[in-house]
Amino acid sequence: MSTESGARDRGRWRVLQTNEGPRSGALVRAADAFVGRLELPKHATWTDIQSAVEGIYGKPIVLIASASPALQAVTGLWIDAADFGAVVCREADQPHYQAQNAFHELAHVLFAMAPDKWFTKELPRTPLVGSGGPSRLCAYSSEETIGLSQSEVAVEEVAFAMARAAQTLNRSTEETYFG
Amino acid sequence: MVNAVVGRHVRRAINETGSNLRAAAERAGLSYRSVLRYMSGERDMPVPVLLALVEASSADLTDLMRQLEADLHPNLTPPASTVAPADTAQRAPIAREAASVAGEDVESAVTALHSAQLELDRRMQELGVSRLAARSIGPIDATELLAIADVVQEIVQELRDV
Repeated sequence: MSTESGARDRGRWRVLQTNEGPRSGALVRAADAFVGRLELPKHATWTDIQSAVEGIYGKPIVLIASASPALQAVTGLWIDAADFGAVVCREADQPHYQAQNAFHELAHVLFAMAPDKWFTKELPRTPLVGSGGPSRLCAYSSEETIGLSQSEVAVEEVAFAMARAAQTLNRSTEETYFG
Repeated sequence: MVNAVVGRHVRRAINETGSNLRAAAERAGLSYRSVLRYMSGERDMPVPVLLALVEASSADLTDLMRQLEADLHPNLTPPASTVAPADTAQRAPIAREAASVAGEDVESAVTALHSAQLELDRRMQELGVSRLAARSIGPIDATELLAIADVVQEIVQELRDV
């Protein structure tokens, strides 16, 4: 422990995140199992995931990139209309970040529409923060509020699980970690 | 100190509905431990958290604000019936100065945000949008909430016209 403190004091490394709290291995496995219920093909594409979620949703989902400068803090929206759903990302964001936002919104669709049996103790169906009206604002993550909303942690973990399912290449370690 | 006062009043408002802090936190999708930290004053309570707890427990927001104001500014906010017009005018500069301190900022921020969310909800209902989820990287202020309504309206109307 004293060695760690010494290294930290000399600025050689710092802890970004520990594996304590809800972001545990059990939650990651639960998210993978949850996405597994979509019965995606091996090396699924975005279209495969979108189609599978549409099947649960019962209506088409349109993916939209918004160029509106009005979206400042907001990085993604799920619009649930009577005859369709729309997932909105910000066009100015990096493509991989847009993808993560889109997966996050698709995860919300599943959390709202998937059958009860899909949810477990590790990955419970929890309500979004809302006003009683249509709008639901996801609790954001920051140093102040990280860990604030268990539902958001679960939704984000499912989004990561979708991203893992959509990796079409068997990347080497070098490709994965060094681009 | 202000944080603890806010926390105490939020807890009271929730308890008065017959609910409790744990149930309100669960319904709002918030971590109970984090909520306890806000209630004890250990952390600043973000406005969306306060609103979420109030909404999850159906607590009376107006009454909560009134109680907070009376507790945080007892000398500036006597009961309305005792304030003569001249008295109000005399107090106005002091009240404005006081507004820069935490108490009234909390109230005005809560009011503006709550109003904006109600307006967003109204416009979504008009559009036939039954649910709208927003992911964000920080707090969404009242201005952005109203801008979201414009963005959604444009998208929904154009998709329906296709």
